[in-house]
Amino acid sequence: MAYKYHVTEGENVAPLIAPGHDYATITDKISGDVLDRKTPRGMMITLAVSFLFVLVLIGAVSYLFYKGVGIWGINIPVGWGFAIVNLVWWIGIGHAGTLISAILLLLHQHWRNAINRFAEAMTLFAVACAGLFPILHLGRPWLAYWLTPYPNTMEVWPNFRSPLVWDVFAISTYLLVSFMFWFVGLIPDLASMRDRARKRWQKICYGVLAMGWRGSARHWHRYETSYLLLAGLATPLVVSVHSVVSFDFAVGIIPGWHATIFPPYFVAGAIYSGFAMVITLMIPVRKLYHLEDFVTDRHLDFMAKVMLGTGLIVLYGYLSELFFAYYSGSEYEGFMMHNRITGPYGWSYALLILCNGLIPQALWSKRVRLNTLALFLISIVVNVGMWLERFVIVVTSLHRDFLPSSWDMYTPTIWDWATYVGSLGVFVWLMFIFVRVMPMISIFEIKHLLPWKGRIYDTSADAN
Amino acid sequence: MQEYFKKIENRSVKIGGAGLAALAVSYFVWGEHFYRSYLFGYLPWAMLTLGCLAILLLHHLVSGAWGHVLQRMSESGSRILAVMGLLFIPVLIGMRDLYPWTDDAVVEASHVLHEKAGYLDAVFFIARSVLYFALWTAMATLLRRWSSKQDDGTDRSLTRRMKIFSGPSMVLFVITASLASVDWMMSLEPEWYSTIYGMSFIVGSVLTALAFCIMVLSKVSGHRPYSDILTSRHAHHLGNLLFAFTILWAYLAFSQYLIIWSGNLPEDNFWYLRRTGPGWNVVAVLLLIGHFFVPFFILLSRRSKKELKKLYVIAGLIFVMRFVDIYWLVAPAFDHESVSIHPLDVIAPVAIGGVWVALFMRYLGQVPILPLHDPRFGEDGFHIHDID
Repeated sequence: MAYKYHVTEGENVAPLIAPGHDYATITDKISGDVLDRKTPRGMMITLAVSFLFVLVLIGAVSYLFYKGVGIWGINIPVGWGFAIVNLVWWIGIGHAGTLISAILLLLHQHWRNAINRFAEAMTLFAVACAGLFPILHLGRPWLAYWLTPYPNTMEVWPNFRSPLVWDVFAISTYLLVSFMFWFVGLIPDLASMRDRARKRWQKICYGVLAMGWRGSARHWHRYETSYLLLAGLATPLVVSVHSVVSFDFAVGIIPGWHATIFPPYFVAGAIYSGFAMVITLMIPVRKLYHLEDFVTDRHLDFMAKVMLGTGLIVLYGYLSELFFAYYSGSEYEGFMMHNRITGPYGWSYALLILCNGLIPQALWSKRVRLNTLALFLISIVVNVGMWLERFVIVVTSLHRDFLPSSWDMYTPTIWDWATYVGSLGVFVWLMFIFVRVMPMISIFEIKHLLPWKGRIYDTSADAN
Repeated sequence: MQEYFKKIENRSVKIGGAGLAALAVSYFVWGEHFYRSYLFGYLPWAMLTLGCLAILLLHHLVSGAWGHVLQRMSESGSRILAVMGLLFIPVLIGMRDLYPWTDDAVVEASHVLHEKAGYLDAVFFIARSVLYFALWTAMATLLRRWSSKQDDGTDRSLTRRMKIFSGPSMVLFVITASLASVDWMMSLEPEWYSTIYGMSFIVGSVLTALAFCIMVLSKVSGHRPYSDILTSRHAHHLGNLLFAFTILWAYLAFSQYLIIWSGNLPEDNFWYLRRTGPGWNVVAVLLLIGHFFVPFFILLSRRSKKELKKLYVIAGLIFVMRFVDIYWLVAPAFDHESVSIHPLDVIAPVAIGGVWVALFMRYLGQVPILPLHDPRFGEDGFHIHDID
C-alpha cells in the first residue's frame, strides 16, 4: 500500500548519511576500502598486537592440555571461575549483533543499516570466543562431543534436566543462525566486490562466495524473503540464548543464583554489553577508515540510548537483588548480599555498581552521547562492568555457601588471565581481518538511508 | 462518536451503580468474603490504569504511530488513577482480613516474617500506597495537561518537554509499580517471594491496557476522524505489539515457573503447589492455553493482525484472560483447597469496572480524539518527523 513518508532533514535532526553521497560514491568508498586502499598503519599495528595475544592464547591452551585444569585458580567450592565468567561475557557481547540485525529490522529501525554488518561479524567472533571456554573447562576437551545426545554403545546420555545441556543446543543454534544470517546478508555485497575486483584471485574468492548472484529481480525477491525469515528465526534467539545461560545459575539453589529475575536481567545485560562493545570497536574503526559519513554521530546517539535503556534494566536487577535479599527474610540470602558488599570480594561489587550503575547515567545527557571520546570511555567502562557482574555472581555466591566449613577463596592464576586476554586478542584479530577483507558496512542496505531515496519499500512491514 | 462514548458511559454508570449498590449490600451478607473479593475486583482495573500510564510514557519516549492513535485513550485511562486511589481505601480498611502479616501473632510465630516486619508494617504500607498514587497521578496529570495545551497549537516546545519528562518518570514508574506489586499482591502470602514478580506485574498491566485500548479502537474505528486515518498498518503495528507482550508475559511466567520448579525448595515451591492443586490446576492449564497458545498462534499469522475487527476478538480474549490470571494469582492465597467462585468475585470486578469504564468514556469524550499539533505526526497519523 502506498503512503507518504518523508525523511526530514531539518531543524535540529541530523541525516543518517552525510550529504553529498549517491549510489556510486557509497559503493566506491566501502568496496574501495577493501579492494584498493592500502592497509592503514593503525590497522597493521592492531593486527600485530592482537596476534601477539593470539599466540598467548595458543600458549596458555597448550599448557592447559598438557597439565590439566589444575593450572587455573578453580577449586571446590569455586569450580567454575573464569571459564564461565568469560563464557557469559562473550555470549552477551554477541547479542548486540543479533538485536541490531534481527529485532531492529523487524521494528523498522532503518538506521541499523549502517552498523548491522559490523555487529553481526562481532556476534560470530564473540560466540566463537565464548564457545572456547566451556570446552577448555571440561578437563578432557576431546570428549566434548559427549555433550550431544546420540545413540551409543555405552548407552550414556546427557542429563536433559541440566541447563548445561540446554546451553549446548542454545549456543550451537545461535552460532549457526548467526552465521547464516550474516552470510546471506553478505551475498549481494560479495557480488559487488567480485565485479569490482581487479586481481584474478580476488575475483575468484569473492565470486565463489557470491554464489552466482547476478542481482536479477528474482534474486532480490528470494533474497528479501529469506532474509526476513532468518530475521524471524534469529529474533527469539536474542532472548532464548541468554535466558538459557542464566538458567545455568538460576537452576542451582545457591543464594544469589536462585533468583527468578535472572532470565530477563541476563538478556538485558547481554544487550547492554553488546552495544558497549559495538561502540568500543566502531569508534576507532570509524576513525581509521574515515567512515564518519556513514556511521554518523546520530548512529552513536541511538546506540548510546539503547545502552542507557538496557543499563537501566540491569540496574533494576541489582536493586531488586538488594531489595529481595532483605525481603526474603532468609538468613542465607541476607548473608550472601552482606558478603557480596562487605566480604573479601566487596571491591568487585563496588566497582560493578560504579561501572554499570553510576557512570553510564551520564548518557542521559545528549552532550555526553554526542561526545565521541566520552562515549568511547563509557563503553569501555560498561564492558568492564559487565565482566565484573559475572565475576561477582559466580565467585561471591560460590565461595561462601551454606556451610562455613566448605568456604574458600578463589584467586585466578596467570593462566586464567592469559586465556582471557588471549581470547580478547583472538576477537580483535578476527574483527580486524574481517574489516580488511569484507565490506564492513552493508553497501546495498545503507543506500536506503540516502535522504533523497524517499520511502523504502518496507518488506518487513508485510512479512511479520 | 461522542454519542457512542455517551451511550457506553450511561450504560457503565448503570452497571457500576448497580454493582456498587450490590457490593454495599453484600458487605452485610457475606462480610467475611467481602475484602478478598474486593481486592480481586480492584486489581485488574488498577493494572489496566497503570498499563495506560505505562503506554503513555512509552509513547512519549519512542513516538510510534501506534502510540499516536492510542494517546488519548492512555491519557484518559491514566486519568482514572486519582479515583483508583480512592477506591483503594476499602483495601486499606480491610487490611487485617487480607494480609496475614498485619497479625502480630502470625509474625511472632514465623522467623521469616519477623525478619521483614520493618517493611511489612501497616503504617508503612499505607504510606507507600499513598506515595505511589501521588506520584502516578502527578505524572498522568502533567502529561495530560501538557498534551491538551499542545492541542492549542501555540507552544511548540511541549512535545519535547513531554519526551524529556517521560524518561525519568518511566524509571520512577517501574520502581514504584514493582513495589506496589509486592505490597498489594505478593505480600498476601508474606513468606513467599520471587524477584521477577514486579516485572510480570508491569508486563501484565501493559498487556491489559493494550488489549483494552485495541478493543475500544476497533469499536470506534468506523467513526471520523479515525476512519480517515486508521490503516491496516496501524492495526498491524498494534497486533504486533499485542503479540510481543503476550510472548513477554509467557516468557516471564515460564521463567519463574522453571526456576522454582527445578529448584524445588520448600521456601518457594509451595506457591506453585497451591496454584496447581485440585481445581486450580485446571485454571492454570486454561491460562496456558487461553492466555498464551491461542493468542500466540492466531497472532502469528499476518492476516489476523491487519484488521481491527479480528484483533478485537483476540484482544477481548486476552482481556478476559487477564482477569483469570489475576484471580489465579490472588485467590489461592486465601483458599487453595478448591476453586470456589463466590458471587462476590463476580460482583466486585463488575462494579469497579462499571465505574472505570464510565469515567474512561467521559474523559475520552472531553478531548479531541486525536492529539492536535503534534509535530511528530502528519495528517495521516504516521510518523514523519523525528524530534531530538
